[in-house]
Amino acid sequence: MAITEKHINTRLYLVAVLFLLFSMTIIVRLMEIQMIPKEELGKIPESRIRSVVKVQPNRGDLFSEDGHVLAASVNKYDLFFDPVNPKPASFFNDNIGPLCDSIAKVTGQSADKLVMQFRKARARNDQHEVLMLNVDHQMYERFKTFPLLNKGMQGGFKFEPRVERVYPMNPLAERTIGKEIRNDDGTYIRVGLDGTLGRDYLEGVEGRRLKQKISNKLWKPVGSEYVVELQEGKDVVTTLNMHMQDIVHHALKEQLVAKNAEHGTAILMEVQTGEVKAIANLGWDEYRKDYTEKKRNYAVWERYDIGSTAKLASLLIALESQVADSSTVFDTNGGKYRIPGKTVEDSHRGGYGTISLGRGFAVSSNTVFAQLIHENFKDQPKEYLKRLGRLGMTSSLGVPIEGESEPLLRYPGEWGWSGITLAQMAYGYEIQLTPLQVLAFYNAVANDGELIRPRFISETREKGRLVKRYKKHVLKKKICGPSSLKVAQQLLRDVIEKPYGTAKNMRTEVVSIAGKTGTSEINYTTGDKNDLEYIASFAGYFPAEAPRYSCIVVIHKPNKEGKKYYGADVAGPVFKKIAEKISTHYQDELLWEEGEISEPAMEDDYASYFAMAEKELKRIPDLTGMSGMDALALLENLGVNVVIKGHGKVKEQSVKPGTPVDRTRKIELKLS
Amino acid sequence: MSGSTLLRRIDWLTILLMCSLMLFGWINIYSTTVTEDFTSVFDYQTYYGKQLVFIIISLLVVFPVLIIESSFFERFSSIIYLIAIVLLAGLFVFGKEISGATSWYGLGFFNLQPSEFAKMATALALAKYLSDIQTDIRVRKYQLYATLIILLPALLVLPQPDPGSALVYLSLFFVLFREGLPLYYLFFALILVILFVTTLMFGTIWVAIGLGIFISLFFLLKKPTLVIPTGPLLGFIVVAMTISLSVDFIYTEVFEQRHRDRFDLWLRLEKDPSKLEKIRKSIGYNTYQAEKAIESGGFNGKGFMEGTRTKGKFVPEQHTDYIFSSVGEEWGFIGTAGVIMLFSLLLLRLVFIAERQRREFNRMYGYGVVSILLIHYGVNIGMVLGLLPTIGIPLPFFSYGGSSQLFFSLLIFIMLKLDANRLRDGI
Repeated sequence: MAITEKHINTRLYLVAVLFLLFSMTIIVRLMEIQMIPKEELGKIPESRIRSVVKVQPNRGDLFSEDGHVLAASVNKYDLFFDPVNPKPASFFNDNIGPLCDSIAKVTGQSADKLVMQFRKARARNDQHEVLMLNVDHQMYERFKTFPLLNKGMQGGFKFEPRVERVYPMNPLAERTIGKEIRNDDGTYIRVGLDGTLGRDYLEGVEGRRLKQKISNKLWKPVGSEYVVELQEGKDVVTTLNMHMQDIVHHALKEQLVAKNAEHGTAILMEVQTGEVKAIANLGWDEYRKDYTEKKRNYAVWERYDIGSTAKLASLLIALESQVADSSTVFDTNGGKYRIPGKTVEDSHRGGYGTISLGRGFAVSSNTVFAQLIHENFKDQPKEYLKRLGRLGMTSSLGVPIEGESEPLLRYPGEWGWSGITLAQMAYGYEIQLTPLQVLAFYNAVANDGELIRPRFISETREKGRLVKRYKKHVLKKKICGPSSLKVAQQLLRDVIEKPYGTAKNMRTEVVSIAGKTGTSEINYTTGDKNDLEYIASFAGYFPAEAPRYSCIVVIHKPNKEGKKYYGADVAGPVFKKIAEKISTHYQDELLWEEGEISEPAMEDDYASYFAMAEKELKRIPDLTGMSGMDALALLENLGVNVVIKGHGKVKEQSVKPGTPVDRTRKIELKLS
Repeated sequence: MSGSTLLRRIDWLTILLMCSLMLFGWINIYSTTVTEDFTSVFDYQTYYGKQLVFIIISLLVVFPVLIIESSFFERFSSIIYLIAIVLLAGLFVFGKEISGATSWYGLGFFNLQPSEFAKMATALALAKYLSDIQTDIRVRKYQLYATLIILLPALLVLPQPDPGSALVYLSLFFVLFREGLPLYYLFFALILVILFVTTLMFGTIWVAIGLGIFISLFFLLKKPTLVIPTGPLLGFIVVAMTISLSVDFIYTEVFEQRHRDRFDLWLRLEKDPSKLEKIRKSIGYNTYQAEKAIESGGFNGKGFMEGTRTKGKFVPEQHTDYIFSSVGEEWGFIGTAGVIMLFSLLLLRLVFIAERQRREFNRMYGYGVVSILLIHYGVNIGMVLGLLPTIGIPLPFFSYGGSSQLFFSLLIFIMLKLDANRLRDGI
């Protein structure tokens, strides 16, 4: 039975009002949620459910020509122990002793002290006890087998992996191999090859792929496609030869020590290809009390007044412009040649009397060359500079190491040009080049006039497969005519071979050397004799009759004792030692010209490795009999974790050949 | 009555609104649950496939309902109610547990949730009891019986546990109020809730002060002629303070932590923002994610199948209780407001239909239907929007679930059948 309509109507109104209120509340709430923009919203979720994941490429390795690793990325680990995590207490107490025994065996710490330390840490709830820092993968694997730690997180094992760049060959060519230093602001300092080649070769391209959240903490890649294809960094095989580097490094260092010099550089280059085989940059390191490669890349960066080594250029210009030939006679005027504003002096007091241009070159007479150039080009100085340019001496080489300096020259009509400039340039002042630039010029003379860019990269590889082999880069096909070259080549030999040559001390039975000494003064502007310092250099090539290697040695501020600061005394012996050692070691090569060491067994080895590396491997290959290092390289390229035991060739592999590649699995190789 | 006249008398507007909700709901379920290995929308292995099958079955139910004599429902309501009670009780023995609740009978192809059926049965039984010529709801005795009819199924579902369904049965009290249950019951219940919540939020002292101010204001503003007897007033104050004082005890001793968490979250009782954030992301995870999903939809929404949070399965139970968040994300404010409109229209239409009935049974049943739909709609959306504490309750016609789809349709079709017959129901 119902009650009266009037009552009910009021109730209905009440209900209607309540319903309206409720609807309004919902609408208002919806508007509040959906229509008031809040930052960060809508963006975070997108990135959280569908995000572009960056896949970091592995940085390529840097190799020397003779197969040494110059720079490589390896995994390093910091290992920690969380003594609080193991539960229950009995689990911790039962195992802490054995764990500490195991650690003690590795680290040499006292096991009892470790037990104490971890117990205390557990008591005060300290969850981050250092086990060992900066250990390699093998050590990490070993720790993983220890009691407690073998339970992983539950056992309290914590580790932080990171990739570290190692340079096994340091300090050999350390400066040239270089490194890439990442600043905090994300910019890079790129030193040497490992730095400079980073962008183009080693780094690879960061892959980007879409991932979608499928549930809490679970992501799956969307399709198999990369948005940006991942490209692993390429390995770079450099032209550097570590054996030659060793020779050059020590020859230079020995002399720096003997002459108490400030710093020096020596570069060895292959004449026909321009491949830089060795490059040493040693400077006195006050902090380490030794000559180290840690200062600058003098070879590439440091300009210096090239001194008498410039006379080769003067000579070629004179010959090419036909203003003189090697027999043209000059009067050395008692060792003094006067031009307005300057008196050019020979280093030999009293001069050399009246001598031919050829002899003037061998004795390195400043007056002869000042006359030669000043007299012939003072009315057309631009012509002289043009010809210098033709020799390739006015521009930089464009080598792949950051920081190459441009040659510093004066130009007629520009600031710094004066009446004496031309004469000075003739024997190597007011003309500043880097050692590498001078070497390139001498190399061109050795290489029958072909000017080649000094080269550091031999080839790039990817997973052991050749990507690109680099050919020589010719900067100028001919820097001068053949007849001038012939004369110059002969005169460069005279410097060593003639009894009057400045570098007669460099004559050796082992190999014939051609080259030119150079000595230049620095701090000559102060006028005080005591301030005067010297730069001694020698640039040349060997063997003289069939040039194979060119080389330059530049040493700054040698000891002035006994006036033995000349190029022949300071730089010459280094050059000689390098030439002798290289010639002895590489006799076969020097004789056979293009010959290559061929040993059938080795060739086979290489061929089989190469054939395997060529294939995109999907299954674990049969590695028995393969050399340990090759097997390692092969497997690591497949992305498999490898543990190696022993040395030599592979005797046993823990995973059978033909098993599909599983990157989560470890393969153990036993070598014998 | 011939078939054609029956069809003409059916309230097509209600059917249109209902079908719109079903269709839009299904679209959202599809978007929420479709996977990459899509085969067909009728794929019974998938949520959307099953739901589509149930929507069709639910619509087909209209035919038997329309064919059945309309007096059948009134006459057999007691028996239907008894069957429902037996089915609910049977769950304790034969029930199948799904995600922690023993609310289903496993029938192989389909899991039947008898509590959905019982809602309809209770609405019928209540209407039948109230419309009885002898029943006077103003009399204590009848109030007690009516309350029993409502409470019996509620008590049976509570331990399953299914507090959401229990709440739905309680909503049928609304029918009692429509039919004349004195308002002071409502007033009393409201006071209880207000006291409880305010004590939780501000503490007993502030509640006492607030109560004092309220009573003083009441005396200041009341008509001078209105005389308030002192006894009941004092009684009220004593009872109120007792409740307020016992809130703390109930909260800490009777409530379990999960309940407390829900209140902490809902009323922002936790003052430490970091802890609150933690609760939001653990206990309140669903609501939190749902809110964020709706938020990210903005005004226009991201578009069908474009909801990243929906696709990313951020919102747990999104295809069931939290389906509204999918609407919010993919269809934006336009979509959510549209759904609110549809529900409001449907509810108002049903009130209108109920009010135009000549037979009391029909009207009361109509209000039963309205109550059930309203509480579902209100609690579900309130929960998804974070206005109410989390109570698991589906959104009618929207949420995935065969039983609810079927019985909501049945609920409405029975009403429409009764309505279609109203002109013949002379008094």
